[in-house]
Amino acid sequence: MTTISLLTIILAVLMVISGGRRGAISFVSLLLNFTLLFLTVILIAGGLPVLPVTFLAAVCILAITIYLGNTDEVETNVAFLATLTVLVLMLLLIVPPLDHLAQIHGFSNEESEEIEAFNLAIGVNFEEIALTTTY
Amino acid sequence: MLKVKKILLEVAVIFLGGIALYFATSHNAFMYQQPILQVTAVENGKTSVTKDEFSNRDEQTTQRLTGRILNGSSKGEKYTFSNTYTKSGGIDQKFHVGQQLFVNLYHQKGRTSVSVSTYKRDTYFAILVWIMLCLLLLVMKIKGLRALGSVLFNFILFILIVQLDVNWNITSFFAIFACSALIFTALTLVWILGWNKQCLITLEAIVIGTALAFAICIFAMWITNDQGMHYEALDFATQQPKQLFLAASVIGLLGTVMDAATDIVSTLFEMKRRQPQVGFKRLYSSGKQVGKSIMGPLVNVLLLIFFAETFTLAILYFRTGNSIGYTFSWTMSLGLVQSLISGIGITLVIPTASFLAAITLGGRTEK
Repeated sequence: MTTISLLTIILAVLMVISGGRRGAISFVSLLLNFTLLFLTVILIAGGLPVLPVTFLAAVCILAITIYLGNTDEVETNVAFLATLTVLVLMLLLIVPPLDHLAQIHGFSNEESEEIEAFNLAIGVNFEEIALTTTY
Repeated sequence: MLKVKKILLEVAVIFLGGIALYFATSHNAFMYQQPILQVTAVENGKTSVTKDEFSNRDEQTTQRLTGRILNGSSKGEKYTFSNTYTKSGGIDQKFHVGQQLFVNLYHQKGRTSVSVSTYKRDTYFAILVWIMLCLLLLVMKIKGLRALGSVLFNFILFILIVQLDVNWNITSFFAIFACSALIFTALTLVWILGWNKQCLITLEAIVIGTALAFAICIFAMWITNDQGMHYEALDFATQQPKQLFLAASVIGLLGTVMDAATDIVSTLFEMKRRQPQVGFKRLYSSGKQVGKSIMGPLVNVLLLIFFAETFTLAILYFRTGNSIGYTFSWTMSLGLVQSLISGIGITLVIPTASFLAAITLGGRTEK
């Protein structure tokens, strides 16, 4: 058995012990999100337009993270809309100006070909979305 | 009316501050050692299409740049040189008139050649920091600054410790990082919460949670014999990679555990303040309730942060003909293990923090 699979099993068991049913659901959402992220990478690497794919994936991840395991509908709706607003705002405000002005893209010193400019900036966005979901 | 005036004043300060910063950072070339060149003219050459063995198409263009040096001993001198950029811009970029670049000047047999080192980005960095500062102050008032202060303090401390490690080049540097991580946590908690019971309980919960999670992780690594762990894939590893990886994991683990522990303990303290008669059982179960609701998002945040880091590299791996399994094990496995360790830390700190807070607050009033 690899270290990763053992640690994953340990995490799953502990999440169920510590969180009960909700813990189990959280673990499922974790697996779903990981699959989605991996799919996003594959799709982008396959040549699909970066921003639409990323945005779609971000909305899906957001929905999974917020709606799975939360029972209060009003509260989750508010959280979902709030994070979606932040996501769109960040996308409009930060990404285009910063990307064109500061030209932050690609790698610092590694060889690379066909790396789209937006990846890094979107990565930052993911964190932003994710952090807001915790509130 | 007074409120409108105040808002106008705030907006004015934010804008003027931003403009001042922009002006200052675009005229600060004299503060740098490395020569800075301002592009005064650009002449774009022909674009050619390139194709590699994985049939990745790209466009390559060579541009002639003319520019003036802004600082140092060659200040005011003009140079013309060429720069090649690709459309995808992995490690190169297209330059425009007016941009400032860090360059290297090579003097040889009376001739000087110029090579671009990197684009000068301090203006954008400064403005981003400024926007963040303003937002923090607007949203969280003085509390935000306090939090930022602790971040800065920890950052400086961390740099110092890394410097220490580099200078001494000790073989068992893991201990240093573990100890310093503990000191970070204690200092941050005292800084934010003040030296009181709440701070002490949070610290206890963090230490126990972290130690348990780390012990489990070490045990798991030992039992599986590090199978599938590519420590050699670690970036910039100049010292023993496994130790370096573990040191990084402990710091990350501590951060997430701290997040969960402070949430739970502060909620329970607030509860006790509002209802002084509340007992151990209710406190413990509400602590676990809080834990349950923060666990899902927190673990997902860990996943997203780790994934964002490996995103570009993973795409590069896929575009250069690597299989899914290979890409996964070389770009993601280490980060994923770190996230898993932190996740285990969260699940362990939830009961620990709930129990410690509940027994301290409700132990005596239990009927």
